[in-house]
Amino acid sequence: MRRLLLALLFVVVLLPGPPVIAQPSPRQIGERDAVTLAPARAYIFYRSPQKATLLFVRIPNEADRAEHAVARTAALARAQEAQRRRRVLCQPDPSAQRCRRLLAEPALTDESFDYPPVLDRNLVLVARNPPFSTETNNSYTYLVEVPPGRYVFYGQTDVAANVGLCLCMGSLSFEVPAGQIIDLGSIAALTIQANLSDPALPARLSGLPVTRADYRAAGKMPNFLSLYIGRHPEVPGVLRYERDVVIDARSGAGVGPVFPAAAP
Amino acid sequence: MAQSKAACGLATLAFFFGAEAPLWAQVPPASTQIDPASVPMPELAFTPGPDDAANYDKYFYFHRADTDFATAYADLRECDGYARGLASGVDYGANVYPVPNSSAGVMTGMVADMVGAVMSDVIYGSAERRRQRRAIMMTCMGFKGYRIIGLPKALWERFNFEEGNHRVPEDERQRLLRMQARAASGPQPGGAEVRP
Repeated sequence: MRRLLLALLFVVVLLPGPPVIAQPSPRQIGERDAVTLAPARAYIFYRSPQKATLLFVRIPNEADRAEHAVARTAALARAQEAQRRRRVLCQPDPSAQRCRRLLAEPALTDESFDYPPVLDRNLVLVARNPPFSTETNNSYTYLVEVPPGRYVFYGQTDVAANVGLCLCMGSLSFEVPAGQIIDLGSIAALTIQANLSDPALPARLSGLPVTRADYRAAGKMPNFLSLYIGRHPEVPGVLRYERDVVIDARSGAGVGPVFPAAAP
Repeated sequence: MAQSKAACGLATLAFFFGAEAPLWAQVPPASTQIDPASVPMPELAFTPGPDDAANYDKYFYFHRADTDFATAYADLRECDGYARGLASGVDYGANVYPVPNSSAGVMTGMVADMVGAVMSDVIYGSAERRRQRRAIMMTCMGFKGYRIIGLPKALWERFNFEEGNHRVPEDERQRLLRMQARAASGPQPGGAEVRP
């Protein structure tokens, strides 16, 4: 019962407020869905030898950053109030074990408040079902409608198998412009294979604007979903590593974090 | 989507009834200049017992020949941040310290709820979380070029910690990470190397 009350308090305190700008959620297009391209939307397409649930992160634009700042400020205020209330509850018996721990924690500040670097709307989860198509060789394709922007391949999860891994120590990014279908190639075992010997597209995409992804090295990302961690294998001409330093193989320069820690 | 509804429901239940940590997350203060001489060097020399080698995958420390204390400490803080799901940016040398609870609970919405089910305490349990932490530390420090050196449990637990369903208090965490940094930047170890 106590845990439930704490959980309800968490919901009240830490849930972000209503979004300032409503945006359509990503839409996964299945085998029976019509393929109609909306001019203001973008499309990610890829092949996969097996069904898999993949995660992509859209790098925040100005509107995202503004709303994120508002949400973070509100969440900090709620968290500080919750901390204050819990300390008040400890006043009758500050020597109780949970109170000793609570009272020993430093006061939450703007500087010390840990908060995810993106809003939930910047995450794109492409579920293992439904695929866009099932191919004759028992592989699959996936097509998802998303907001336009630059995306990073974040990782993979499988709830049923209790596994999840983020490419937190190096990955690939690609631009997805409005009105276009970006073909990522094939994705298997958290590895993007861009250059395919057989890049044939499903018949349902014939006549539509499909462009192959132009990849860039993407730097480190926080493990804000608490997955196992890894990094994308090196890609000649695009991504390499010097120990844990992510290198843009085109320029030879190091690549900084995707979400640099910055003072709000 | 039936699958997403089921996952959302499971994730919600799992989060609410599995979490024991405080309700908020804190970023630690910036790592100020620390004199490595002020940090005790852990005892690392030992004569292997008959059962020690079997547990080197659990009890180990990191070492890199060409590193100094400050670099090792920054590397350990970064990897510890991945291991505990630090939500903020990855510039751990700047102004970040690990958080009391998993940031998976801070991300809300359907995506985070679905993924949160993967990492819920209800599904995984404390043992899996400890295993996950070891795997993440090995992966991260391995990418940074550190070797993994086995230790007997009795020596290991003097400067290391495990995290299952509880969170190590911040000051204790940093104290232990600093000792790990002393070991990581110290003399060439003589113990058995662990291959992950």
